Amino acid sequence: MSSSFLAILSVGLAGALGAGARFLTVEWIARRWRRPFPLASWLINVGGSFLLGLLTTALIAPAQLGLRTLLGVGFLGGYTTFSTLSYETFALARRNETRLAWLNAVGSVVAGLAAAFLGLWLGLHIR
Amino acid sequence: MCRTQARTESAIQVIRKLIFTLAGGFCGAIARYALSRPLLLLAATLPGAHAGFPYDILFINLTGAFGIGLLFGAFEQGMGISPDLRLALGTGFLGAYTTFSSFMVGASMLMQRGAEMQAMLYLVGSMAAGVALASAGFATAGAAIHGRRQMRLWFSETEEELVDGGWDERGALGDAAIPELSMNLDQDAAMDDAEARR
Repeated sequence: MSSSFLAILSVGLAGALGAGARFLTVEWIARRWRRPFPLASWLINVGGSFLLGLLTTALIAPAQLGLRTLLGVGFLGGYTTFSTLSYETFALARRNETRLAWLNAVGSVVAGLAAAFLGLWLGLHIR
Repeated sequence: MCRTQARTESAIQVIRKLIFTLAGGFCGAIARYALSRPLLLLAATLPGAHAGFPYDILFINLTGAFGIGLLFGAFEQGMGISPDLRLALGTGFLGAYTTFSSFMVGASMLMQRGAEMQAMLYLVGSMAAGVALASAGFATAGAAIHGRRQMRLWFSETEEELVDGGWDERGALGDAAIPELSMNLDQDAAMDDAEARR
């Protein structure tokens, strides 16, 4: 078994866990939040952006790069999602929830970017 | 006793859904990981390519947005796609194939490097194209379903023959709700549901 095979397998497993964590988060929040705005996806994406920023600057030692790929590319890559964000924005617009559609698209990008910057900054300081 | 039984059943349902999501997520994350380098190498050969621009994530996210438009569009417009398949392909595969965190961190790194213009184009372009492609996927699925119905209409003697084969006629007429989404578009149903829970 080559190391690249193991790398692919471990990223796949971490991505599966990320997708599973996203599914459970959505299930949990959807039982409590009964409004049209897709709060669960928003929280997942913004939170995941913060964590990826944090990992990116905190784990920079050569020995940590494998872990960074596992957590960043695997887990957080599987946890956060762009396809659901796109579809939910389209679905809101299609049902004439135009303001919520804009809020979802712009709000995700603005908050996600701020969260990523915060994570990158914090990672530099806690390292 | 009865309540415990109901709870056990609902726990089994969640575990079943989780397994389909995990399976799809496994494949989706591997697809993204495996495609990343070839996509970057391919992009580098294109004229006018910017070194260091996340073309891999851009391509992956936009194809995933079109894919989810096709999948959920087909379901919403009446094609019978089982909850298991929607979870495996939509929530699992496409959810894990696409990524928002790398999109955001990629854009912030472009900004930090002083490529603000590229970062802005990446942010606005991805988001606008993502929604447009989800919509295009939805429309493509609708056209395919409509085309199929037309074909069957031409080749069948009676209208009744159309109603079969796992096609949800209710969905074809209106909207089938997608429970996998984290939004509640059907307020009335949500209210009924909340009442029932009480």
